[in-house]
Amino acid sequence: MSKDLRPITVALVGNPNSGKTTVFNQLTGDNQKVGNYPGVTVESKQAFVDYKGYRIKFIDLPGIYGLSASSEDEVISRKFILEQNPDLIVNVIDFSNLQRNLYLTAQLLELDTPLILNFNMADLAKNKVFVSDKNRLSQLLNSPIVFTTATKRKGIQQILEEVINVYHQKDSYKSMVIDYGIELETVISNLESVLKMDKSFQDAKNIRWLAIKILESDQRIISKIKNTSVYPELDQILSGISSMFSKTYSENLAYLVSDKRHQFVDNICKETITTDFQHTHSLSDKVDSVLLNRLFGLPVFMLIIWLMFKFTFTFSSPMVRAIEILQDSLIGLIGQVMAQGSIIYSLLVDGIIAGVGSVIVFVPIIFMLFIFMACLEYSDYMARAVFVMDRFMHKVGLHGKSFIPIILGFGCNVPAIMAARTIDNKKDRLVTILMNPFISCGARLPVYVLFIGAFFSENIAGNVLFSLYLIGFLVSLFIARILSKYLLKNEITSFAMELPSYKIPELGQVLTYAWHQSLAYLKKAGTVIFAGCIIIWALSNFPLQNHREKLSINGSSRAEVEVNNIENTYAGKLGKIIAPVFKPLGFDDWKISVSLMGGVFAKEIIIGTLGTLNAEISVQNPNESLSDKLKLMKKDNGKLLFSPLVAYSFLIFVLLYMPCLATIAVINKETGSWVWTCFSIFSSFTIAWIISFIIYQGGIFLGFR
Amino acid sequence: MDKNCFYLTEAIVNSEVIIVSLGQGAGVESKFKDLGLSKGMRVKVINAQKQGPCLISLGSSKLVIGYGMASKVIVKKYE
Repeated sequence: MSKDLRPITVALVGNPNSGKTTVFNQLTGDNQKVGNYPGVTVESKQAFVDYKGYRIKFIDLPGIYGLSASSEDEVISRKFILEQNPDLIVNVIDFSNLQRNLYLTAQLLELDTPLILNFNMADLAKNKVFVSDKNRLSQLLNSPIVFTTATKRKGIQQILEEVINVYHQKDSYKSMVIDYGIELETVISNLESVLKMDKSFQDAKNIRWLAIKILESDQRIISKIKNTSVYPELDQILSGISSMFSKTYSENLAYLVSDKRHQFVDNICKETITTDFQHTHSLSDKVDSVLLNRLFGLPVFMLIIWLMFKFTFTFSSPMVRAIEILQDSLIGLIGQVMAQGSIIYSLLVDGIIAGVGSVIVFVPIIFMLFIFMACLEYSDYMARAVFVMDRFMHKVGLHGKSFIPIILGFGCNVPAIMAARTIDNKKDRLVTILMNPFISCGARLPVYVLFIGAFFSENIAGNVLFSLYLIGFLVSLFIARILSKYLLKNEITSFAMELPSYKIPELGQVLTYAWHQSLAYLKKAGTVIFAGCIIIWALSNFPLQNHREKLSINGSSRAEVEVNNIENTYAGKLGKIIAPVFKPLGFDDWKISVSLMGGVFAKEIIIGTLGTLNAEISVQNPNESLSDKLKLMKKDNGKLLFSPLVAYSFLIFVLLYMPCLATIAVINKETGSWVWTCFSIFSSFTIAWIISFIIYQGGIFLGFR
Repeated sequence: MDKNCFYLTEAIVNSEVIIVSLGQGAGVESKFKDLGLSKGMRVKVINAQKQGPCLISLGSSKLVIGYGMASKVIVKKYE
């Protein structure tokens, strides 16, 4: 950091869906994922901007409706605002929902931190919300106002200007005093004077705020003052007032306080704002009457997801083939410049190209999948899924909000499990985390595509793929049901959330999203999968004595000897120990066993491993693709290893058998429990084994082979 | 419960209702309030299901209320 730059810390705070992350990305040039449903930002993210001699640190916080936090992501925001003392807060407000967003603003105004009000999405609300007097509004809210349309970068520069302005006047900032009416005000000043009797509060900057929070029975504040000398007296005052007020108002104190705060906002809005919402939702409402229909809602949702996988498969196939051809010519090129028997050639061709290359082939599929996922998310259909699935989720002891992590799990289980932070109830959150690894993520898709391409005809490929996703989903519901019924008994809680209007997804936004996901996939191929493939290659080539034997043999008999030798390598020995476990499932082959072990690190390694371990088949059939090689894999008795039935049993196993290492780590972090982490690992392996067993043995019983 | 009142889950789709009570439970009312929903408010019911969630519209925004919550919210017909 340059010495001359003075630091400013700015927190971005706002309701969910107000566009905080978009504002953050535009301010900082960062590329955080943006979403239109709660849970996209569940952690605070920060980035720096150097502006006019200052180094401004922006922190993007999870969306909140108020400062009385109940879910984990809300706690993160509240903690940051109250304990990290940012220099100032940019309150991002969805302008089309101005009045509702200002309820949070009213709570922020009572803090000691200066505020900048950012009325975002100004373009969208152009004909719906009218501010009659911006200066008056700014004056009433004790803060400067900046209008932005963050998606088009409009007004972003002005936020930076205001940050500098407000920072300069920071020392003279006085928090807003909202009038709570004579009765409550008397109580507040009583509480204030009692608080002041304790030494630890004498220097407190905002003792009024503390008194108001006590009045609201804010549990986190109360637990903090519980050990102070004045607590008994405060408690006495509170219980006295509570009973007095409940007689007069039949309401609790917290409700009365928030009611006054809302009156404050309502009065301001009456004076300065007019709205016209007559036709706002008409089209959106019509679409919703079909998509959210009690009878059609669920089938329409299933149809959309089915189409998504069908098109992902169909559209990406030609691109996958093109990359395969490119790789073949690369192998040919290496063969021309290097001796085919050398260990370097083996590392490059058998290890890296056959391993990492067979994973890279599937980039188009990942790209297509995320194009469709982005369309669903940015059109705001995903938020509808929460509504459609609520009734259904109640049957397994959860509610609709637990469905958001399920949808995210189709992409990757790691952010999905983190998104469970938006769920208020601890037990619900745990169940939502533990059911997630069964949701089939993007990393498993290449494995399915490879095997389905090899063993199923093109016209049923989409259905086979969809069936895998469906089975993963059903198993995850089954786990949720068992957990919430027997292990984590719980009364079903509920939720309320905002439903955004439909939007037409912007092409740029969709492509950027898919592009970043594909890059992340490539990065994984270049790191974790690269390392995994080299390890597998080493394990399948050492002890080295085998390799020397290979070199001494030339001509057509080489391949056969190599096959025998590779089984004596570390990989071969290890695989053979495990293989019998899979005999009842139909795939008791040491190569498959090794690939499944590799798959624990990252599911794509399954393909990489099969590529590396089957490299020897390429000596016999040098121009075959990996999927053709799979068709040629043989058992010890010389019979072909895979039939469609065995392939399907294997795919079911891959779908369910174990969370990958990154997912295991995030389960451990989010549950904070090794017991539940181990539960997740062992239960998934057991369930995978049982279901593959039923499918394979059932298939044989029904006459499939 | 007053005979003119009924649960939000029983409301007729596309009708307008007035919120009579938001249900018990610590923090539930405050949570609703932060979302912009409070007693005495007039809302339009866009979707309601006997054993499912409800969708209501208030001013500029639409709120999904999960079945568990919606089955505790008491409303009366707006006339």
